[in-house]
Amino acid sequence: MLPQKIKDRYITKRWLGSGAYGDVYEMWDTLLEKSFAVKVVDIRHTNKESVLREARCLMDLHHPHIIRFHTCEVYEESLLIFTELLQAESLYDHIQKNHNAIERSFHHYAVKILNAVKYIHDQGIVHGDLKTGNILPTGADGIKIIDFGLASYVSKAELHGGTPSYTAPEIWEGGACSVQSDIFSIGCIFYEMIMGRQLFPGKTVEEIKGKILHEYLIRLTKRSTQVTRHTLSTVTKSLLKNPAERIQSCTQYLDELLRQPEKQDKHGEKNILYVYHPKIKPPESLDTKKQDKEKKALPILPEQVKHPGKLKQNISMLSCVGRCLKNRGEASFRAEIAPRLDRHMLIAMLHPKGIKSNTLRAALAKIAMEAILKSNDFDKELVPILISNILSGYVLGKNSAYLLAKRVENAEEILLQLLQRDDDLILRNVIHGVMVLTPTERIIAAIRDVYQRRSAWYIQEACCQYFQQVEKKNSDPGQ
Amino acid sequence: MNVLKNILDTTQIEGPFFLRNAVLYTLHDTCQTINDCPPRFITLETGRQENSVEMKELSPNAIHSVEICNNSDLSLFLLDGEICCAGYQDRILVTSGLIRKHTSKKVPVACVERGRSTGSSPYFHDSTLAFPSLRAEVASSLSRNDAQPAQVTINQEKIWRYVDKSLATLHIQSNTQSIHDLYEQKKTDIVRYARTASLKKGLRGYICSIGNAMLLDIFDPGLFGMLHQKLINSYVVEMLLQSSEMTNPPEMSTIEKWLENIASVSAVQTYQGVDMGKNIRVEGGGIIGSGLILDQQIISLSLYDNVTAKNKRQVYN
Repeated sequence: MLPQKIKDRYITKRWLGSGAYGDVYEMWDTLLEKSFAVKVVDIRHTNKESVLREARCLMDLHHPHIIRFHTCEVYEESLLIFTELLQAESLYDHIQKNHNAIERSFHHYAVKILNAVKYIHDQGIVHGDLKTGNILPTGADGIKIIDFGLASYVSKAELHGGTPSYTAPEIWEGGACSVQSDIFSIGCIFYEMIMGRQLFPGKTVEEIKGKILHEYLIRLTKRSTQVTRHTLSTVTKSLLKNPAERIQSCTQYLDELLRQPEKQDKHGEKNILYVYHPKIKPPESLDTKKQDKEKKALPILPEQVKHPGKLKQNISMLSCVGRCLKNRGEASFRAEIAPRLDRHMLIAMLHPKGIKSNTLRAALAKIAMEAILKSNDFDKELVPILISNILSGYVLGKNSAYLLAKRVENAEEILLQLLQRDDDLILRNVIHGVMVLTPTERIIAAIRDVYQRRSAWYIQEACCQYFQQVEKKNSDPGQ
Repeated sequence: MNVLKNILDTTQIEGPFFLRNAVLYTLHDTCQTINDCPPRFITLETGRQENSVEMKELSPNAIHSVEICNNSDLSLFLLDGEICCAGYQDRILVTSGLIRKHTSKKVPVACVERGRSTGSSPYFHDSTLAFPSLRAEVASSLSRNDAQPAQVTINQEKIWRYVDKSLATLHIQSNTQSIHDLYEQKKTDIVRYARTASLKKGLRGYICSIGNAMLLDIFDPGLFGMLHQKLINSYVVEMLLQSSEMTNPPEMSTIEKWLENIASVSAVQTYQGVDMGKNIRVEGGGIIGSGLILDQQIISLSLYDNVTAKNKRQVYN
């Protein structure tokens, strides 16, 4: 039991949580007049050396995304490790509460986590217990990695496991902690951030161990607008069972994540991630592009839709179009079917009655909007319908935003209104559209506001692109 | 509650001490110490270690009573909340009691193992102490007939529900829905924390704040030493159950005020005990508890105060 007052200097305030070797309490240092998080380890029943190793590792680490070490004290039969006090919930808690927000900010967090772990590895240390519970998002600053209870120098790494669901297969087989085992744990963390659930859940340690050691790889699809196929493929490479085949370092991981082509990030595109599964054997190749080529034959559109001259606003026909979109996929429908639809059908698609799926309704409206704006004989009478649709919350695609800015007279007003919204996806598309317009003070101020207000990485990126473009235009007015 | 007032006059409160998410204040006896106190009683655990106490089923159909034989030369103290394993199903003692030396008595119990009703032997072995909130639940599920106060009626369904809830909270897998499995599967944690709490000279009880709950356990100084380990183990389980409840530790002034409140609770009833002594039952103002008095002296008193429940009922301002 820990008394309230320790060494006439520290006052125990409250229990904060439990770590690998001991409990963590908040303590007030009466001398420095500051609160610290203090890990209390009973050295009678714990290997003193392994506990001191945590303090020694922390002492060598000075990084903005790693918890700051303060001091170490011995009190009676306990060792007290003082670190900075962080008043933040863990990434695990954030995922449980609002997985979508974490998925949206995936790149923002992923880069910070990889940078921090890269720094740890560069100092010759392996963390050994990386998990969502040991990463604290700390507001605008980013993240902090905590709990170095199982950390060790690579040269002196021992045989011990961290949290079962994040432990690499080679450790279960008796290997020591290594950079590759940390990379595997990062893969599990990234999977959890993307999917909102653990990759290897289980009620008992044996169950989890069985999953990690004996399950094969299968293809898993995820419909996501936040994470690209390339990202998922990179995460997969960090989860490979054989450490030699896995991503070898955080530098390589970062390179792979950062070099991804932005063009692949299309709305609703099926992204693919491989995960372990007990019954199905692994595919021969991890190359997702090869497998995508094996597409099914495209469904045939009903005859009436091909000759749309006679069409009126007809619910059953709208359902046919909806089915066609669903079966063909958005890209194919947009390229081949949408240009052949007549004005009545496009208007019907803007308000698709009789279609239950929200996603399908939104997709139909988006494509119709784009088709109307794209058509050579652009019908200006439709503009009020389009604007009312956009302002009432319909999805504004990237292309539509671009076309709207180019073809509609009072586009600036509409886009400025949209920039005040909090929907990151729409904001990104709107910024894309705004780039077509001549930069005015109002637009620049609105984009600056979005930049400060929204933290999603792609919004930040889009805003930066806009500012770069404005700068370019200012330096070269002839362009 | 006069008996509590008397006991507090001769008791010194020290602390607080931190044990994970529990904050403990120790209660020390200012008049005598454990060493000076000759043993007057034995407990179920010491009795079984010496093979002088036997506990067995009355019959396969008698769920709410068991027979306890005290073959030792000292009186046997039974603490409400003690869980006895084996028999035809695990049971929990619902009242405290004292059984004279070389005497057998029928003792009221409740079932804490919903999924089992048979066993290879009618005898019980192994005992633990239920965690405070379960003890409070057992106390509140107890009612007595006015005409025959010695007879107790138990709301068994209520106890089972609470056991199920506790098992679910800690993700315990139990084939027979037994509370004993919780203690077995959390053994590592129990041992880890319990070993940090050592028995000090003169210690006779604890005031403990865990999450939203405040509780008091005070015993006869000679008896406390024998029950100390079980009591700490039960606190550890309560700590694990209440891990998500993060509250600031209470100050000494809050504790003193709380004790004053308890001392002024008038809803105290007294009944004839199992053999020797009298049972007391406290229920009111969000506080529930029970104890045992012998010759106007408290042998045991356990009180449980759920602050959240009290706030909901708006008993106090």
